[in-house]
Amino acid sequence: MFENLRTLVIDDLTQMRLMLKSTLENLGIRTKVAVGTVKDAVAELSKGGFDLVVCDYYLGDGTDGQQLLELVRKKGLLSASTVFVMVTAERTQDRVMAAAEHYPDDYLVKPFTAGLFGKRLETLLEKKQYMKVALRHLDRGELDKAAAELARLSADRTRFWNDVMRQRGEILLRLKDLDAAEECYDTVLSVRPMPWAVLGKAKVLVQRGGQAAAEQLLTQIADAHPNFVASHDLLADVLEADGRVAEAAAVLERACKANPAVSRVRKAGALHQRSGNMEAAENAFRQVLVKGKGSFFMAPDDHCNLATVLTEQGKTEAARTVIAEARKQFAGDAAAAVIFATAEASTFIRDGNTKAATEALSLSSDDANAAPATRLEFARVCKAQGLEELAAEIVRDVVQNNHSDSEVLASAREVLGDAAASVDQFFEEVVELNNAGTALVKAGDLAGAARMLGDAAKRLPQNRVIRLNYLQALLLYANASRSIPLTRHASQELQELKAMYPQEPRLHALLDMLAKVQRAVK
Amino acid sequence: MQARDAALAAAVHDAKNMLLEMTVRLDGLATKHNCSELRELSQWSRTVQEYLVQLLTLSSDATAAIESLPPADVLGDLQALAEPLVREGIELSIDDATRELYWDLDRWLTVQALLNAIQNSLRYAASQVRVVATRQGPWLVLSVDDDGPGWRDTVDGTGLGLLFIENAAELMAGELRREVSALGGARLELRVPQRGGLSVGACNGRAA
Repeated sequence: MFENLRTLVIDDLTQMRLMLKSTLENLGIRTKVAVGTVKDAVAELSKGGFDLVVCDYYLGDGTDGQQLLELVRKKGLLSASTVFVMVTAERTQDRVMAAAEHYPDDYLVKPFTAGLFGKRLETLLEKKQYMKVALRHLDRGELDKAAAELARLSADRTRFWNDVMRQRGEILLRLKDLDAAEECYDTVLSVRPMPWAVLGKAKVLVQRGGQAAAEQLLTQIADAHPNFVASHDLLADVLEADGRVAEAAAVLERACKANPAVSRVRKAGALHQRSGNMEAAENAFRQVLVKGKGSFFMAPDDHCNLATVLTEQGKTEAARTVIAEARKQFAGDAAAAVIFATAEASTFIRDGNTKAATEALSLSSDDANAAPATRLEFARVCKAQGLEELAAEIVRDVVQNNHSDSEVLASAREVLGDAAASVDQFFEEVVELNNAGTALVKAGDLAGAARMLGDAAKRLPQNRVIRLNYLQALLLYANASRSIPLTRHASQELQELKAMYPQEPRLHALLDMLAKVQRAVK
Repeated sequence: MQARDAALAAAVHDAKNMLLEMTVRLDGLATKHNCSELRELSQWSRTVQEYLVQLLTLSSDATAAIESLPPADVLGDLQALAEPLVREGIELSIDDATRELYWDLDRWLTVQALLNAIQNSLRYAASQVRVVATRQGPWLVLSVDDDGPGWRDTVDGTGLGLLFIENAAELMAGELRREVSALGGARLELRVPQRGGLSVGACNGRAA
């Protein structure tokens, strides 16, 4: 019954991969791919088409299966109907993660027999089959349809009721249908106080703005259950949103004792830094570097964070050592070079060495492919060095490429300080450009719209709204003109956007539209 | 005593992991050379590993890892693990009569305890072994019945099997009962209470 399952095995140990493969063979599974690193796993999952993923929890080099699962779920690389099984060596660790936001379909403790694995797999496939329609909607981003289907299924208290309710609650939260989400969680809580339902209920309270009620509920849970880290994480978010950064940091610090996942330690460090506790921040950021050494999940930012808090404490020499080490690790990474140059310049500014700061900055230049926050930081340091024009130019480009991101706009205003008003001007320029383009579409001038939005997309390749509107105009124009080259071009655009924004809900409609145009043009 | 206990637990833990490594290598060799003797050795080392893991749960700081799940899921695991052990002429049935959606259990501990009980029953049963999950008030009762000669005074082997079941019951704040079976043989009941509060986390019923 398992012959046709396309399966991916992920384990860093060769022998273990062989054992898992032979277990799968005993079950009659024919199509197997086995990889040993997170990087290869991501590459395989990007190709898609897997029905089953068997992943070891420990993946070596400071990475683990939970991080991988979170990454591929966030990137939309894992279909909701794919069965994901986590293999662990210990009997207890999995419970700590029991209420994590991203969770596998099942845990198996090593060593296990093919018989046991087969039995579990049978149930898991039955579950996916039972929820098939809803999961397909979920994959297509049709959240309301998925929620409706799950509501229908939840009427029956089958053995999969728990899974149905958990999935349904999450979707309702994403849809911001708070009343329905609350009712869903309350129904579960009236049967059993399941941790995920308690957490879901708290999320409803948070989204409703009932900060105080949510805080009270979460504090209660966190105090009674120190190992239930998901509740600590959410409590920290609530406190942070309330501006109580130091308290948030303390909560996360405690959660790190129970489960020092790199992402959690990193967040704790950032909170300490914001609350002005540089020593604690330094500790946390050092821990991130030690734990994540050589890991796929390490970013240049991790080194920079440490360098920044060292600089703030006046330990500029130590900061420069960290940066030098980081440069070796990320040699050849242009975006990283910008980050390091910025951080190094900051150390010299702190020392009062203006000449060295300018030199450090000149070693690098702005990189359009770097993250918005990186580029804004670069602009900030440039401005501090009196390079006003360069700073404004970078801010303009960042703002116009991300004009729908309110966080970017806020940071941009902060960077420009007294010249913050120009951010609004940069913003208006894009909005006008976009409006002009869509107005041409409405007026029926499809060629003009495609040209105008095409120019805009070329100048602002990271602007999601402009890119999507350009694609839409392009498809309309291709359809009207029955043009094969234009259709082909639209198809390329779509592929590119899909890779850039896998979760973008508008892409489904555009994909349907492309299929229609392709049929019409043929 | 605590320190000695901890050292002992750590040593057993290491031994278990070494055996896991050995099992994996034996499996690899067995496949490479297509050798049934190697396969048998690997099976042995698996069994020893299970003994060791059971031993670990006897240490003073052991805890149960509780989760809320349908008893049917636990019985499913049990079915998969017990079926290969059944000898000819014996009928093994496993049923969930509760249809409960949530019960607070340590999945692995419960399965291993029942598996030990089944192994014992299989040794003495004349023709059948019956496992049933029922609900009695606040208790989930997991019973193993056989139609063998019933309980005897002497202990088989090391007695680890029964000790482990008893320990599993304690860790989950439950009870173990030895009764006379309606089938004429022995009846063992593992009784686990539903816990109050949040259904997650470590539990040591012995400490309570």
